[in-house]
Amino acid sequence: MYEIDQNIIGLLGEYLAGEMSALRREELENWLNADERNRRFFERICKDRSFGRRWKLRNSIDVECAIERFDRNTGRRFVKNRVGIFSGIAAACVLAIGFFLWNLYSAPEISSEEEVVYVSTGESKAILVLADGKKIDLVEDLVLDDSSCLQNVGNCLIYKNQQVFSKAYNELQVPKGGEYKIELSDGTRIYMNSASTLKYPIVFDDSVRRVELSGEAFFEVKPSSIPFEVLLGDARIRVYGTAFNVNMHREGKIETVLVNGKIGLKVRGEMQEHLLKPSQLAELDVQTQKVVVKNVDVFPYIAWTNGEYVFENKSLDEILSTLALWYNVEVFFQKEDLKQLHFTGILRRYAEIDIILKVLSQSVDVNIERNGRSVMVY
Amino acid sequence: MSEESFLHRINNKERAAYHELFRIYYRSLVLYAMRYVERQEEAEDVVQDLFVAVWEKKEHFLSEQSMRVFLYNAVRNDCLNRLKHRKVQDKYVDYVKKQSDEHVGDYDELEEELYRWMFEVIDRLPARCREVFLCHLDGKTNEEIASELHITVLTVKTQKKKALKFLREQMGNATVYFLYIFHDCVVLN
Repeated sequence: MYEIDQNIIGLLGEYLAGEMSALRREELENWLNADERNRRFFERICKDRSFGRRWKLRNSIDVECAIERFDRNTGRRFVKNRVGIFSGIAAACVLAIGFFLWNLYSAPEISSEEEVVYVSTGESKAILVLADGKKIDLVEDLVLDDSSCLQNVGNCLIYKNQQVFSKAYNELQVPKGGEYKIELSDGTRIYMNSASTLKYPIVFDDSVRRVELSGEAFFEVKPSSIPFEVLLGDARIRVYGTAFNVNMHREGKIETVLVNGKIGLKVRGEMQEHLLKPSQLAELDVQTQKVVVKNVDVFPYIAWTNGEYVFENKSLDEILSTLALWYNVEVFFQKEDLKQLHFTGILRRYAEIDIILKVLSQSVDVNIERNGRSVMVY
Repeated sequence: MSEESFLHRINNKERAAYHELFRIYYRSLVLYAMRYVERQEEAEDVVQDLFVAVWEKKEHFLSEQSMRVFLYNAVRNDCLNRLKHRKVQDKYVDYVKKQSDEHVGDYDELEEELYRWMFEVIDRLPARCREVFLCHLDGKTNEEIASELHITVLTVKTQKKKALKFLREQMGNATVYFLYIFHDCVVLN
């Protein structure tokens, strides 16, 4: 639960106030039953006898005073920057006139005959490449012919545990606009994001469980005495236990975030293995081969596995790049500086692209328009 | 489109909009900070610093919902940092454990937001009605309330009914539903 749910607040408020319709009561029950922690929370606030005290405490906080303090802390320093302000205004005027003239004289980039292309959200689709080179198009609920060693259940490809050792490798390719899940023969589950490829053996050998990834995926590794490794080009992650996300889509970087367990990131040719603890992120700069480890809040990084995109002060460039992979569109910025607009927010991954683009363009003064599979920012 | 333009004004760094932001969230954020730092003065510093930082950064929010989440998270992170630096070991260890326990912090935020909503509603009740309702929220019986406020039990019941009617009207409040309709791509549930 990464968001504060307005409806839940309403239900709880109604309950505390003492009057609830049967329907609302049922809604509340559903929420309480959904998670043990919800119920514990509910019991705690019901027992709370200090509302009056809270009310008094809250009223003792002087907001107007805080506002005055804010104004002082952020006051415009007129005297010092007087010249600055005027030159700023002059520059803005020039830009405004320039823009106006540019608009007047240049033909619009977007042609008036709009291509009516329906851009759907990403969906479960992938291509499975077998050891013999044969390709199978995977979609949700597809039933595979030969289900002796593998099955497709919903949007997850599942490999059964094989008794007979085989050296065969398969490859799962997820295109732009796709996503897919896979369960390997040892029970490890991997959720693959768009534009990602995973290469893996059908059966793992006794000494190490090794797979190769390019793109982005969330791993839930089944614990076992046999270590698990993920190869990422010139780097590898050794997994000592469970859940982490790897993202290779950021230009020039490989990012991995650990949720649970322990993993180690090592660059080929280097001695050092960078060990991560839960809630840590390791960022490898592909060029310099330097690794930086930071403490982070993991949720923005794995939110995609929950159907959300969480952006914390991310540039419009980065946000649209992420969306471009998922919706399979291309983004064009008409002005470089627009790339540096920053946003904080949560978006639903399965929403229609036009709605998301509208939210982005309306929250601040920027134009974002889609024509077919091209998105223009100006 | 009142919420849209408020968000727009915040993103455009309109001072008056920031003042409104204070009036809506400041006190709840301070109360939330006090769960960590205890002293009201320090809690107010935390929230003040946050508002100033948001004003000064080129931060644009996609929705009021995500701005809310951001504000609470930022307050918590700042508090934890302060506790860490002060080496107040026990309190910090306590909260680090809470953090790793699958974002339990969310319930604190939920609680704070619940109270904030209720405070807002109660703010708008007429005086007598409010007194009765506050007593009710403290778990007092009609008889206890009547004796405490020197009124009849009948008056208590009437005032309570009035408060509940008002609350229900608030539930059907355009703002709440507007949040649902407009932001169907922003996570609300």
